[in-house]
Amino acid sequence: MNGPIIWARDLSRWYGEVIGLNQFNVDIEPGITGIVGPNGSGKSTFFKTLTGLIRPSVGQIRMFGQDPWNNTALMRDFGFCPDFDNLSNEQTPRDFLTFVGGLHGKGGEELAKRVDEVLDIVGMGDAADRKIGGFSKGMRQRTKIAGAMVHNPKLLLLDEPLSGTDPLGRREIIDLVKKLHRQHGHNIIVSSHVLHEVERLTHQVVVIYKGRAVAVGDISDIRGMIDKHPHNIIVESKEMEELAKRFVEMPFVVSIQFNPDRRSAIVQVQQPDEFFNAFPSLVEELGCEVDKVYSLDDNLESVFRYLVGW
Amino acid sequence: MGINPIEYKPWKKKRGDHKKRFLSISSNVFRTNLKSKAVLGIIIIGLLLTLVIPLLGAVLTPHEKLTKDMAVGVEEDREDDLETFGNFYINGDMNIEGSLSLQGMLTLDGNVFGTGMYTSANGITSETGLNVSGALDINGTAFLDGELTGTGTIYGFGFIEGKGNLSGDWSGEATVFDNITEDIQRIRDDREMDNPDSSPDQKDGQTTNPVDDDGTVPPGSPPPYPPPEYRMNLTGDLGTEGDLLVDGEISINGSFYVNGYLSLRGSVEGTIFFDNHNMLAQYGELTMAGSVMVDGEAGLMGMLQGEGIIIGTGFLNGTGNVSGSLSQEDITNIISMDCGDDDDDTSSEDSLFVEGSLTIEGDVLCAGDIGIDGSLYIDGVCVIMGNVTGSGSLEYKSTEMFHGEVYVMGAFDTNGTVVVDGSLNGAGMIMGTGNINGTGMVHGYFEPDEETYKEDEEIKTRLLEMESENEMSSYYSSQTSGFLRNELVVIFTLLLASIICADLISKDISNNSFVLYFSRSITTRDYISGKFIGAAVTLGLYTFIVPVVVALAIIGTQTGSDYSTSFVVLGLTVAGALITTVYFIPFGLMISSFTKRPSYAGVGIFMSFFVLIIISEIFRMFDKRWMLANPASILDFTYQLLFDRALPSQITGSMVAGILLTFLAIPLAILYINIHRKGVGR
Repeated sequence: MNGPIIWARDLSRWYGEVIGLNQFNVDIEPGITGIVGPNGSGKSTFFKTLTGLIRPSVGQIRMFGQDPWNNTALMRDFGFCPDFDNLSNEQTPRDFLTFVGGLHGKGGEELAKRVDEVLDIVGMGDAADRKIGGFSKGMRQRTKIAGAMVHNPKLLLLDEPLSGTDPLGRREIIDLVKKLHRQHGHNIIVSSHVLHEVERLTHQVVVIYKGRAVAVGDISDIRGMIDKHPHNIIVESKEMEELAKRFVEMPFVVSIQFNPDRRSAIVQVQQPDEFFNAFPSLVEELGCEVDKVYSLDDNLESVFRYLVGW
Repeated sequence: MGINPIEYKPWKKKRGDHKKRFLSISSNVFRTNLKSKAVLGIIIIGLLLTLVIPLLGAVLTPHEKLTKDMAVGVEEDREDDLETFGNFYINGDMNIEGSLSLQGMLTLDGNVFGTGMYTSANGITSETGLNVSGALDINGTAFLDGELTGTGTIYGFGFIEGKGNLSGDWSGEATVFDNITEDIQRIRDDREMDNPDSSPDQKDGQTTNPVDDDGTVPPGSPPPYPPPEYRMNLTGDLGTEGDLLVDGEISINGSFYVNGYLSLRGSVEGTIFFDNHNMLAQYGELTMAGSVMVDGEAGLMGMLQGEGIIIGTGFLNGTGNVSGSLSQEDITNIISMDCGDDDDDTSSEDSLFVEGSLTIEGDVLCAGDIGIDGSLYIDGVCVIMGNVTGSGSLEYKSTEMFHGEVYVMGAFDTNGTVVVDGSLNGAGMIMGTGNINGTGMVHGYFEPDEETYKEDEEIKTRLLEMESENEMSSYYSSQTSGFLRNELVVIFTLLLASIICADLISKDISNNSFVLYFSRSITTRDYISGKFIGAAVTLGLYTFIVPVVVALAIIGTQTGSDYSTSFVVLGLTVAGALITTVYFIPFGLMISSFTKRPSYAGVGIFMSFFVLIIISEIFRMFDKRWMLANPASILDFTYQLLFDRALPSQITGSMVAGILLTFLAIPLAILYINIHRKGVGR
């Protein structure tokens, strides 16, 4: 396939006075692409626009070169797994998938075979005839993903598939998404508000914030952009003052700000990776005890702030 | 960017048939409903309550074929009555098909047409005239400046005054009367001026005209007064519930009906019809100073008392309460009757013997025996405490089926023919060698006397024959509404529709399932079609099965060979059942799309119909067309149209079709818009 599978230019969508997408520009190439952004940043609006569920207020969007709005033919080419759970507790995964397959005009043995196949792909073959009401969050998510791919679409749109899952479930879904691309050839666009989760899925990301695409490209490039901005790192230790004296000698440390109890401080560093590399040997050298050390900026919100220059 | 190679492997076969996508939604709705205990429970209870009895009736009751009457009931007289307590001012014509009862004054500039009855307590005023084809009941005063024409009957307690003419088949010639009351008074005054000595004393309301002690004058006796100057010539009938004083001569070729005080000074020629429902002598007294010529019929409903002469070829004898009409002028002794001397006793133990022919238009109550050597025709309620014997025939013909009844507590011995068009009830015995024919019903315990009558088996056979001659058997005749118009079915259908439709849309709104549908190749039309068909199939488990199964059972057990008629009715039944099935669903889906709570939707659907029914019932009193606001009535009218039955007056087929389409189309349109608007925020 030549060219981007998704193309958007100056895409804006308003809900009354609230803006969902704001001059959103993006080119998404085939493969797995992560849409990363905090809650309320416009990820779901972007997905709804992609799936033709809502119409852009301004701008253009294309999927496989076609306008998704009111284009039922195009809807055969993608499968959408929404962020909310609308599964019936009384149904089994097999019932659900058979129903969804029917919505695509499928039926009979062909559909039954496909349902079994999809259930095996998502690892739900053993639970195919159990009621969904007794499923864990991870199993429900996998059932939803199965529903999105039962008609074997070119593109899977997974809106927050990792949301609410436990670490084990998260790992299963991450592995599943990778498998769907690698083994079954689906293009996948997956959204999340957790950067490192997306990082485990793909290197190709679109960072979205307040309705805008603030960064598009390889995640390492984005990391590089982020690293250009000072990071705030919290350090807690009984020998905080001794540690602080050594911190100021480090060339990448910008500032140190003690908290009132003087047992913890916020260390602003230019190159956090180098700081974290040097920190263990510093502690060993001083022979002090460190209670905590963590980056205040290891969350997406601060990343976005860096990216937009706020 | 790191892009992995894509090895997309689409399904080899062509993609699914998009025309069938909604069927997946339908089957899902159907399966979900079948798992619902509430839906299944109501369907089962409904089937038990509304299917079993008609099914048993169909199997156990002999019938020749499946008829429209079985499906939608016996055609009713839908000419509803109108009753008002205010005044009526009508500038145009008035057409009365039912009855019009008016407590106020009717002022009319137009004509009155129709076959119904007009009743007024205060009277009627018309400047242009009245044309009465039905009955005109005037208890007030009717002021007629126009012409009163028609073929109906005028009766009541009031007066007719005015300058108008009376004309028509029932009244006098148009030029005879300017004012009945004034005419009569003028006749009386003129006679007093001409012959003051011969004028009767009216002070005590009685005449002093000399008559024989027994109150009768032998036939052929001349009138005691000379021929009057003025005559009341009636070529038709004239009836009045008020008093009528006639000093002149009355010539009647129609019937003369009086329920008030009648004082006759002159002679009466023609037919006289004297009625007194009150049965008290002072209100229904016939005082005759002159002759009554009976060449036609003399119908006597009240007390016959007086000193006048009754002449003619008929014969009246007795002082009891005799009601009926006498005919057959060639019979010398029309009636021989002795019902006792007590004036108020209408249930005398004495007997009534009919040697000639006696036709009774009113009710008969006789505690004694009835002997019939001639013919006895009864057109009202007949209660006989004694025996019916004789060699004559008894014909009982009620004007309306099942309204007239004959009760026989004694033995019913008939050697002639008994014709029963009404119903024959009682606990007595039916004996004799005669036939019982007719289209009515025979109820009660009738024990044949085997010792006396050896042909009782034949009578039994004939009784059965009479039942089989009826168009419908007794079971179906009691099912006046028909199995398709069973009100209980409508109630269960409404209940089921409320439950089935309640969560079809609202649940999708509450759990955002619209995304599930509309992010796929599903259009709004597919979505609505799927929900509609799923609901219809579920509802059809009840609405379609009940009438169609009953119809098939009737056809399967029919004794006749006319299957073509039966299958036509079956086809109409199927069409009616389909309409019932789809009728409530658009409205139910629309209400369901208004809320995200299924319980609200269910109550909303049921209450919406309920409120519409109440509104319709309230306002139909003012305008019959408000019946069209009642969804159940619309369904009923649709059946009537389907089976080619008459609709109530003021309601036309196009109105029903229009409302029906509106009831289906508008909810669907609103539903479509709602799903677009509420669904996914398009």
